[in-house]
Amino acid sequence: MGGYFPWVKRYLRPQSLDEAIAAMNEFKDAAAVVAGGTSVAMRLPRRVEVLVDLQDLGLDKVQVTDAGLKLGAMANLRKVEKAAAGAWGGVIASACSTVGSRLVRNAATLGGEMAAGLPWCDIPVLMAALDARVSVSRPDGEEAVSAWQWTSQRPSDILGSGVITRLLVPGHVANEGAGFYKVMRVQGEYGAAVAAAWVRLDEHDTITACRLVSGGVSPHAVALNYAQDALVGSKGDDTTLKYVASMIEQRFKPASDPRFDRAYRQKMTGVAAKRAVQQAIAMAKGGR
Amino acid sequence: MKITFKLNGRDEEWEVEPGANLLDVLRENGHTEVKRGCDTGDCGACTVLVDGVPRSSCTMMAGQAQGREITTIAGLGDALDPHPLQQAWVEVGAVQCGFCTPGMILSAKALLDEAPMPTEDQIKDALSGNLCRCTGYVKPIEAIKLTATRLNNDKGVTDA
Amino acid sequence: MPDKDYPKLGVVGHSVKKVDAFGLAAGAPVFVADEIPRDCVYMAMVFSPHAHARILGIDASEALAMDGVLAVYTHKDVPRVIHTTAGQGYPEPSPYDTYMLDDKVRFVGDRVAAVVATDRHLVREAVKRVKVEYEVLDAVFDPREALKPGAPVIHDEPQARMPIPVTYDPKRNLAAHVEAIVGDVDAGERDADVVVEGYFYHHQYQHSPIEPHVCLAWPDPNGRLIIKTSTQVPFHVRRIVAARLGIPIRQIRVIKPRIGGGFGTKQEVLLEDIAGFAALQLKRPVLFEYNRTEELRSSRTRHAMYIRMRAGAKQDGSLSFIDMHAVMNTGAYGSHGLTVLSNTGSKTLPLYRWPNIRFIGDTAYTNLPVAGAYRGYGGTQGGFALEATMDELARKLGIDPVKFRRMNHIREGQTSPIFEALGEGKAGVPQTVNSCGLDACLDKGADAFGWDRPIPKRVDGPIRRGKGMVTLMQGSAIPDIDMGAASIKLNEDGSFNLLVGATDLGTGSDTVLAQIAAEVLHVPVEKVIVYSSDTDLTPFDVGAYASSTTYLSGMAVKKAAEKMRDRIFDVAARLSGVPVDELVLTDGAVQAGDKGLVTFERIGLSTLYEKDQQQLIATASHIVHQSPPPFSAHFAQVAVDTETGIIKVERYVAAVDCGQAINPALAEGQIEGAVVNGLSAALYEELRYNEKGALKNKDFDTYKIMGTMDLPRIRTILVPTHEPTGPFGAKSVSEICINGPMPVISNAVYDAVGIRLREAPFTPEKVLALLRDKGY
Repeated sequence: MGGYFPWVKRYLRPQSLDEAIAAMNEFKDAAAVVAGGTSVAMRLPRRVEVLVDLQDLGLDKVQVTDAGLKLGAMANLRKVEKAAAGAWGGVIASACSTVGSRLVRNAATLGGEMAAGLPWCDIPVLMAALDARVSVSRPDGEEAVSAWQWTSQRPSDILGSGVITRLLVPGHVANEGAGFYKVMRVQGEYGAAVAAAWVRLDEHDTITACRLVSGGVSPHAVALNYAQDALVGSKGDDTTLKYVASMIEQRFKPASDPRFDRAYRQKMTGVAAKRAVQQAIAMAKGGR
Repeated sequence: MKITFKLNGRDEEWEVEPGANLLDVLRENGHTEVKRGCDTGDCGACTVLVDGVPRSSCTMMAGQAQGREITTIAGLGDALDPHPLQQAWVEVGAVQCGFCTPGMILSAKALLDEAPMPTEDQIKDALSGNLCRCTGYVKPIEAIKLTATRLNNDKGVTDA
Repeated sequence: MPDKDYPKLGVVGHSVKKVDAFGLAAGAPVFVADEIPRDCVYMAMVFSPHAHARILGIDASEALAMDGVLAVYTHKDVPRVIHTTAGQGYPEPSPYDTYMLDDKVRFVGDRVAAVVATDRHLVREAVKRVKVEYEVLDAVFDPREALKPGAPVIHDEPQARMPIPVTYDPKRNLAAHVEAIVGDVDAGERDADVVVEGYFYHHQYQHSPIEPHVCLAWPDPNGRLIIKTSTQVPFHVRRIVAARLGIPIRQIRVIKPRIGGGFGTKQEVLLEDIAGFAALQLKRPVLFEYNRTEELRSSRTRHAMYIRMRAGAKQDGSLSFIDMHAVMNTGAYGSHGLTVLSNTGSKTLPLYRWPNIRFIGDTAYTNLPVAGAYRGYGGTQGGFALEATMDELARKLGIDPVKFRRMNHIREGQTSPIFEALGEGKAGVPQTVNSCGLDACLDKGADAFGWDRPIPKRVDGPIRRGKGMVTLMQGSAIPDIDMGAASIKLNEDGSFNLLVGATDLGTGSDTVLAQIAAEVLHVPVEKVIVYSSDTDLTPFDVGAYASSTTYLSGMAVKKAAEKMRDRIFDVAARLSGVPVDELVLTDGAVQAGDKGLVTFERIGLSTLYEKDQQQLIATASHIVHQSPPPFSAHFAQVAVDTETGIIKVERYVAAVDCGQAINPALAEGQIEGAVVNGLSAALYEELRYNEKGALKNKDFDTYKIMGTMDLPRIRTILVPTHEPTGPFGAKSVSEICINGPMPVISNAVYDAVGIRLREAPFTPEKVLALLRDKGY
């Protein structure tokens, strides 16, 4: 307990992205990125002997552009919560505000949330639903990875020795909406269940496209494809949502943890999904 | 390795282990005004300001302090020359055991720098990482409101 | 209501600044771990990974081979003296069932061996290198199972004994048994028009002071053992450590610096014995501090309890009988196992006028982490069952719960047979209630809450809202057992040193006691310099527990100050030539008729430097013969999410009769802190174990305590009364309010959705299951 890692031999503070990537690539498994520090400073595998601190790289900017919302990987969640603007700003801020306490959000970064691969990382859930692009820098250049990939792979497998530099949340199109819901007893705790939804409606309020992602219960976000299929073509009415929630309850197999039992989390995944979809639909209708 | 940083306004250069966290390093160097309560970033007793932003020093590597300005409660005031927040904390009875108090006051300081007249919700959000088992948070919240009112009144007088 | 000797209060009743607050607010190095001597070494414990096992062998060679590791102590190296860790009066009403180190472990987290090294990180590494061979034994975790024949015997050592003559049968895992019978419950039941019955479960959780247990021990240059420790009971620490180490009490000095919260868990001697042993062996300062996991698992916890309740009333609202049967889980050791059990009845049943009462309780050993004193001390467990039962009775009778309480609560001039029937390790003490502000608490609380108004937006999507209320009592000190003492001396600038054994653990008792002395002596509180809890320098006090400090130690201070006042009058009479009976105390001086003022400064200078030199000093002790209850009424509004089972408490009102509040702001602080602690326990906190008895939620990540975000709007109302046996009319305030949240939430949730929460904590899983049964 209490991060003290005598096995760490070097603490690097690269002054350029190239330097950072080179270091990650040189030390590979023996290296770990220090972004906000909240995960690294608590637990560090014995194999990690080199820490690579990215704070000097200027990766913490939050910008609203024509292409969408550009979120620097080193921006902390509090900064994102305050600065996220545009159509998706509200749902992003709302998701950020459910992560830990203010002291955690002042430290934990967007990139750290995407990279940590821990069940309680909520941000990848929303980013997958929003189909954000994650910029990953490697020695052979920068790659834009769809955040949807987080629903099928562990972050470590996606990233390898690459460094996340930025997230791009695509611009908002009319009739689109998104929602995020976390079932928690204590504000900011790791949720019993988390869900994020994105929908597109036609002029009759029928769902024509939908992304629904669950989190909080396994090492990476989970796409609820069967629920998406059930929602498309419906109006997201109470009956459909009830059906979708019960389908999730039947199919979803979450892990148990010291706070919530498995059966409850299973049920709550359905409730969270339902509430996230309701929010998304309300937003899509309201944006008209 | 060496880290250079500002601590409570003074330039410091410390030799630290690359795998050390900031809380350990601060306390080992005599800065025991930063308290230790949980070692997991959950209680807020070890709060420091990093360039004015409060965070737990137990879940921060010492190396992350490089080039930063770190403020502990000792940088705000002491018993003989208290900061207005410390004064208000004492006056309303927000200090009980006092173990969480330095961290709470630092969180409050950052809040008032950002929002001079905070709402109750803003206060609760700002203190959300500082656990207290004695006060039930009622009087600390009152102390922040009192300080905000006082500082704004003072400002009003000087402005006029 | 004024005290007849003090018609006008100048200091008491005012929210003066807490005397130690500026230093604390500045983060001054006032806690044990804040100032470490240069040559300090560090202790850490090897803890048992098994719930029940015999230690076959310990191989410390690898640890000892590490550079900087100084010692590894096992049960073969330390004195073998059986004792209790409970810091209570002597002889303690807790079983002697604990060795400093034993060859048997009884829970996951029990002591196995102590390691000392030169560095705080190194010692943790060394702990991991100590190899222990165990013979694992069958374990039992449920107290009801533990009491059945054939259950594993946890204390099979023949030395285990109770130092006082009460029921104790470790061969049956029975740590305590209590019975109190008044009237005839069967007759009462026949008489009753309505009867309610139900099981309640009060769970196990931990105090979670933000400063975990910590202790620094060192030998002084003459070989005495000095122990600076985060304790509520410095004098009990001295006595118990002396016994465990087999050294005279005079060889030990215990110093209590500032304490980062206690709430009962620091009423135990958990670190000081072995840290002291190592300090004497190694002749160096030894720091032993728990980390958060150890605090949660290896310190002390709330006693979990099963309570079966039956109670009846007549159609007119009068009470017929109550039958309460408690089975309590003390964990692996019996600390406070008898007294918490008896207080489950004694701090609850006298609240109402039951003509027929049966209270039976058993305390069982199990292989879980150890329970101990915790704010509320039985009143919390019993209060949950009682107040939920009262709510059920009121509903069944169709009487408003506030009105039902009014019809039946105890009043001034009345007594309860329970006061006499249930004591703390011996028979209780009969007492009449001298002060009771419960009606005013109900009036003011109901008014502030808006009890008679409908709840806004009762139904709101999946949310249902409801309201509930409870009434509560506690005690103030333990009659005929507790003693507190104080000394006061005059300085030549007219200031006073107040030396008290009483232990300020953050509560503000130093300030409250200074106010009492200042009031008597007609000086501002700044002129009273308090020094507390140092066994070499201050008089004795039992310590900070049983809601005793203001009521008990406060009276010792008042008596000492009054003696000092008389000494001052003697000197003033000599200096002025005016007879004593013509002298009047005024601000910092004596008014000597037309001879003018004789200032305290003049008296101090004269007595120390001029003539017939002497130190003016006065000492007084105080014991009490009753334990006057404070009373309280709590009201709460909850919102239940019927889809998630999550309960939010939205508003909370606590109206409290604590007699005269010596320092209203500090009294409110006690109430607010206790309410939030109670809310947190009722909703979020529970120590959870795997099937082998290992704690699962080992840090504040997974063991959540309430923070600001989930805080309801809390309104605190002090209802003044005058308790004639307390200093300036004061009673206790520190514990009572932790008993409210659990039953008040249960009652409010019933009002909202018609389900009765009987098992705490009120997790969303349990709520949802009950809602499903109810058709939601």
